[in-house]
Amino acid sequence: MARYLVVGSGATGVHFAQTLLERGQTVELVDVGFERPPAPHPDADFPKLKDLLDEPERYFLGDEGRDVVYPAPDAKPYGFPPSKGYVFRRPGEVSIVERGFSPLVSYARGGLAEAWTGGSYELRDEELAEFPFDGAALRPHYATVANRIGVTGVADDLKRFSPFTAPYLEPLPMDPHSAWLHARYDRRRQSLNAAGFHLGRSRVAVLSRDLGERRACGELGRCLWGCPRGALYTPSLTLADLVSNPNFTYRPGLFVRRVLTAAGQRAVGVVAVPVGGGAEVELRAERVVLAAGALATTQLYLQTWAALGRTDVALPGLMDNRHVMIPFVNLRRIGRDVQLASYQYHMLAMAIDTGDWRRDVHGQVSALKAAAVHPIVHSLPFDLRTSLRVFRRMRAALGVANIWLSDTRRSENVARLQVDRDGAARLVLEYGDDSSDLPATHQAIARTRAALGELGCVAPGGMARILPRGSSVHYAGTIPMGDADLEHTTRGDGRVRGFDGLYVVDGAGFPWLPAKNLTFTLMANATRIASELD
Amino acid sequence: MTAGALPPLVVTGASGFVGRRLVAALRERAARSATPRDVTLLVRDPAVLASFGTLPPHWRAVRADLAAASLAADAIPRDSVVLHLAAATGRLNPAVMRAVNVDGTGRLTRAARDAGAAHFIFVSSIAASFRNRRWYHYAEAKLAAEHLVADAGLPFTIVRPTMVFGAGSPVQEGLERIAAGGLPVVPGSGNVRVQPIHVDDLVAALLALADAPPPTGATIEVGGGERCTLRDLLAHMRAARGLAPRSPWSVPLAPVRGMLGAAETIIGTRLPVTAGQLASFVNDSVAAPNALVDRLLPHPRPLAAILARPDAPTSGFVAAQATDSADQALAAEFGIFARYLGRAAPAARATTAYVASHPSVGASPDTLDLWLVAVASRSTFGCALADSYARLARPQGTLRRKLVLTLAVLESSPVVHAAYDTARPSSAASAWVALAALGGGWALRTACAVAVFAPLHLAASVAGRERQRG
Ligand SMILES: Cc1cc2nc3c(=O)[nH]c(=O)nc-3n(C[C@H](O)[C@H](O)[C@H](O)COP(=O)(O)OP(=O)(O)OC[C@H]3O[C@@H](n4cnc5c(N)ncnc54)[C@H](O)[C@@H]3O)c2cc1C
Ligand code: SF4
Repeated sequence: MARYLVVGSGATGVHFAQTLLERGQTVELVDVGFERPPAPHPDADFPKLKDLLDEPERYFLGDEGRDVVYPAPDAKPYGFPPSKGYVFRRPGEVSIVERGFSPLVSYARGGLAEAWTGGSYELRDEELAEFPFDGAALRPHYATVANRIGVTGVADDLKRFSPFTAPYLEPLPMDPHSAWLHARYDRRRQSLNAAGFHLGRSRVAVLSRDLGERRACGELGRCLWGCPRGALYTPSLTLADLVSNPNFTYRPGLFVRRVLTAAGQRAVGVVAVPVGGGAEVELRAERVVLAAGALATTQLYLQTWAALGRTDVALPGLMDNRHVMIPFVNLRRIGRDVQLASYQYHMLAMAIDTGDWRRDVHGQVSALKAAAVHPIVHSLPFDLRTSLRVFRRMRAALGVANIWLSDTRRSENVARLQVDRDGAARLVLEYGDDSSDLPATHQAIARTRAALGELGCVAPGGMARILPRGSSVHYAGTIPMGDADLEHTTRGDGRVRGFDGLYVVDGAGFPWLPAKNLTFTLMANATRIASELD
Repeated sequence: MTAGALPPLVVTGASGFVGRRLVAALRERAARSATPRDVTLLVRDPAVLASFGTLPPHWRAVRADLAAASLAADAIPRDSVVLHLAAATGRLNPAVMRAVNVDGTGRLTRAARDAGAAHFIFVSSIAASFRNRRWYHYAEAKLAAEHLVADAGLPFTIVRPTMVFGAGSPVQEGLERIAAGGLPVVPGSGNVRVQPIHVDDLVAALLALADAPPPTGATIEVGGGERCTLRDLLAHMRAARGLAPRSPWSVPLAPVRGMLGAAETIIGTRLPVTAGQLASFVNDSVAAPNALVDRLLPHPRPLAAILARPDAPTSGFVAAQATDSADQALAAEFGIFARYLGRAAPAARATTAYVASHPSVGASPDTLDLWLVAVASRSTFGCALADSYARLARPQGTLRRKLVLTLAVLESSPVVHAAYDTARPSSAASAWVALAALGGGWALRTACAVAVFAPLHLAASVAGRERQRG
């Protein structure tokens, strides 16, 4: 029997496990663990891949065109390709009631970060104010994680907003459009900074040099479809390393239903069912660690209470960053060429200083490179042929700023369980207050558009999209860490109050959600907890 | 007269739909007859000449562009019968229509008179008899030409055929498309009366007339063996194809014709149909009874014989082929859509991918949507118009979804993807000029699309409401 039973192989779970293993502990990791299909033609770049594949249409559009992004009232200008289908596949048992909240959940080997864009930002000391530990306690773990996964970054204007303490790799060379914007920012820094706008290189979990088996980014432009070189970090890469450790057992194919408890609410294992069907099994360990992603961890926690006879537990404080997409056109780049074979995601990040660190806005700016073009073309306001021609002339000028606002725990935003008559439990995610931060959101949009204007870009107001709540995929807040001895909270070391031997180490434990993408902090925090457990 | 007893024949418009059949009939006669006849084909385009192959003895071809001033002095032999079939039809602007149909006819009649022709047979059109010729430049031109012929001072007969059917008939093809198309519609009330004639019957009548003694000048209307309403005609066409009967809705044409007419004055005749061409749906196209015609063509073919399709499949076969032909329809529309988007015919593999991916488009019960798809899958131009309107009225509709799928397939296909997924680099100046031109073209197309489809859209929603009420 392993000492630790970890649920989930996402960014949180694998780094928690790795630290424990480095400390000589035994770890068993249970996971649904849908697997990533192998990347075809690993050396081919994006354009060449289309020429080499036997059935490129199926690779890019899915069986029967299922992954074509059609015009729809709330269509995003991108979709996940079939090769990422495994990331968002749900086992039959999963059923979520969504009220004002559209979540993405993952049951993949590696979790949601199999599809992430790698943005990795350290939090400022003050941003940890509500956490039961300070910045100094977390910094070493940012460093540990950065060494493990490789994060590129530069100490630039954004250092004020995101400390630069971990060992960062050299950044990848910028694409011409990003470089153009950066140069223009350099020239107009004074007035932009005066308006509170700051720009710098995004910090990205991508390799600019080889690391172990993983190879440096080869500028293939296939990041969205699945990096074939392992340059863009995904947690399944760490998992693949862990399985060779004799103290580690990986148990995929199991869907965990709840925590198994003994007298005195002592966690002694989990109850799971094989994903392919079959009888319930019990897995036992001395300690049970929930790292199933904030939402799934919340569900496991609620189901554990339900098995103890409490089906009425409601967890307030569900958080997700307000997420806005602001497409823009850089008028001076109209008519230029675009290199499709280049790193596909953001190379620039931005911050808006609002004078109150709690409300500072964080963003990432991406120049359009390799992409599925049909979703973008059909969003233009012309007939499709004209739109296609306009698009090709303007392709080098297009980009998008994704911005996020911080979120706080509010009583209206709740997770709870709905138990049907047949005993089946469904997770209810209800985001009741989706409007109190709208004024701040509109202000952030206006300031971003103004700054883009100063950078020579036009960001049509009508095209800025406030995405539905849930879209940032930064979930947190349901079982928060804190020093106060309250029900449904955890201690600073992840231990869930009211239980013995039960830990929550993912985003469910975050008491506040900064605007910055949280995954780097998720990994660092999991590492922090794992390194402090006795 | 150089040979035989029959007067020499001069034929214009030999390469047209009727002309080809007439030439074929003449050839057959020449092959059978012991007494050869002088035949002169007046052709505009020398390239057309080649398509006739070697001409029989005593035949000749003479170049003559009726729209241009000169006609060779010896083009028309003395005492000949002139069969004037040449005409400009279809989507042409009024000036071209006039130059060929009126001025050209005037030139030919004068030349015929000067050459001492014995009989000038002018093949006009039943459209010249239409009461409502508004916007129908063709009908106007034919009528004006009739007057020229009548006033030219030479023996003449004016022949007005009704709708001429037979393999290769543009009118018939158009109507068959309406009859067999996805949309159960009939243009106009459907109650106008028609009397289609088979092309070979018309040819027989014309040749009989050419052989008869010169009349004193008459205007005769020649039609087929049966009259019926347009609605019935469409039903017969469906039956002839083995398709199930249906009761189509009528589409009010007055507003459409009005809008088309107005649009034509602004943008000329770049529309898929002209206001004039729709005239056939609001006017009766039947031939007035005439004793001469009864003699020339005693047994015109009845409708069933005209519409008979030697290759008509049996219904069992149709069922067996249903999915196949559905796929073929998808393949065909993809061909149009791909050419619309990329100006190039798609590769077979892309077509297969489109058909395989098409289930993701989904079905739509929306009438306007279906109309837009029906128009778009006819031609790239129809597609441009329909897409322009769809962007406004049905941005998430079936047509747009089909076009988005087309783009998605093309941008994923080997080699051709580069024409879709790359930038089109140029100097900034030419990019801006191109963008301005694209914007202008878009505005114009959208204006036309609104002119054409808004009335249909209105009619569809009225019809839809009435259906709901009924
Ligand atoms: C498109 C996209 C882009 C993103 N970009 C960024 C970015 O740039 N920067 C950033 O910081 N973040 C980004 N994110 C968010 C990031 O991916 C998540 O924050 C992160 O993956 C969360 O990791 P996790 O380990 O906490 O949970 P998850 O990734 O959700 O992992 C959950 C794991 O638990 C397992 N599991 C869950 N329930 C059960 C169960 N009942 N039984 C057994 N196993 C279970 C799953 O199989 C999975 O392995 C992005 C996300 C997406 C989708
Ligand atoms: S460009 Fe993207 S897909 Fe290609 S090697 Fe770099 S990270 Fe991987």
